[in-house]
Amino acid sequence: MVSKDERPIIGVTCGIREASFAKWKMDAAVLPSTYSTAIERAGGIPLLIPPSKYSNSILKIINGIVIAGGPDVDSSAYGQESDSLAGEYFPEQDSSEMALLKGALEIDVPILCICRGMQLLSIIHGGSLYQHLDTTPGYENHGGYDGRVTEHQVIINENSRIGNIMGTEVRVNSTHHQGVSNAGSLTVSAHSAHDGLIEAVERSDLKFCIGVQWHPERMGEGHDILYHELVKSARS
Amino acid sequence: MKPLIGITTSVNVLDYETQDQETIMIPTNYPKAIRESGGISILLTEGDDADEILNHLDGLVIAGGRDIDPNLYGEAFHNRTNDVRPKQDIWEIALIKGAIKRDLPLLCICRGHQLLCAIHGGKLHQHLPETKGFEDHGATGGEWSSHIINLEINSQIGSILGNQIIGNSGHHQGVYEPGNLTVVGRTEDGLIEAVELESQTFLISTQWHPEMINQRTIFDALIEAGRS
Repeated sequence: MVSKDERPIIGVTCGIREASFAKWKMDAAVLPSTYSTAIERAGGIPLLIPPSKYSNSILKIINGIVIAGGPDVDSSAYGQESDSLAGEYFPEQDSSEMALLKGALEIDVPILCICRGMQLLSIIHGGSLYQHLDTTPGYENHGGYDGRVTEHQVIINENSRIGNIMGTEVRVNSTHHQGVSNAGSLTVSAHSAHDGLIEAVERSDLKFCIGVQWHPERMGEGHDILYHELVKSARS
Repeated sequence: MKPLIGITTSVNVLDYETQDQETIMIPTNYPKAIRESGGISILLTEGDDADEILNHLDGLVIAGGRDIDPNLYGEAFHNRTNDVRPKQDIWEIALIKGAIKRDLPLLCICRGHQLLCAIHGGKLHQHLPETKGFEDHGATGGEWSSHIINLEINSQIGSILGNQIIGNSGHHQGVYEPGNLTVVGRTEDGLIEAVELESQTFLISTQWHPEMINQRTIFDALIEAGRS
């Protein structure tokens, strides 16, 4: 709990990759700085959470959490064989983030799940994924992936939390090759206008728990409202 | 309860997720060393939050990284000083000062060591391969070498590592004037490789990278200090 004039601490999950900068090359914890700058603009203090068996210990000092975008989730987490077009898996990151999510849900820490984060949220609620949209009938033209970013309209349910925040229709970016096919026990709160893919999910029984398939932190200050609402909720 | 140790990160431009993405990064050697010594790592990222976040930490590591702004020690830019990021300097200086004010256990590595010295009145050679007497200090530009470092046995680091170690070396700048810090380690060419500050219960500051050479006792000591 933080007072009105204190800034809440928002943890953001990050991945581990071999990274090179100048001439060095080594495994590094990495996160696009768009997340931390969006959290700062919204009035929070960003902290990065690297994959770890003990990531849950961080729950005692954070007031809110962002599960960031990243690699594909191991399909065994939702009981499927791996599709040949699935990307590389990072099991330590999967298990760390799933444990963190479950721990955060249990104590009702405000949560915003982005892209991979929304997919993980769906999986731990019994949902499952399409492993490659380009070869999934009906979703072949969903949008960009592999670094390519496209845009499309999303239709949001009026009576949802995210609908209250963003209204019933919004233009978003799209840069993912997997998608949620079944959100399990979560409430589906938005679909893409052109093919109906699930674009946002939420749990109304918690203080703040929203997942979106797009990347609001990459869309400039006009799209900061989800981060603002997360920080607001983390403060209360 | 495992101590929470903050580690500073750097923002670099990388091809990650999208091209030329500003990316927050830190080699995993740092969180790995903290974890293996029994702490929990939290990665801090550049911002104006220094003072607030320190209230939640049990220890702090100022990590290696880019060159610091020579203005911090009152010198003009050498033509080999590059990639400075004043925003990161200002943020990390606030963290160092806040940690010292709180007597929070503090470990400064490489860039962190240089920054600690600069704000205590120390001075840096900006490019050792072109500085008389230090031409052969060690490898630079992403290469690594190793050399003997003599430590003061009556110092904090001496009590942990003994009076002589083989340290790794992969830096092109180095501290030659310690300001009001106490020098507790030097290489044979005289470069200042370790300093301490008497008023601080736990402060270790090294030019070398203990996290890369599995010098676990340094991290054990930091975590132990973080427990109390």
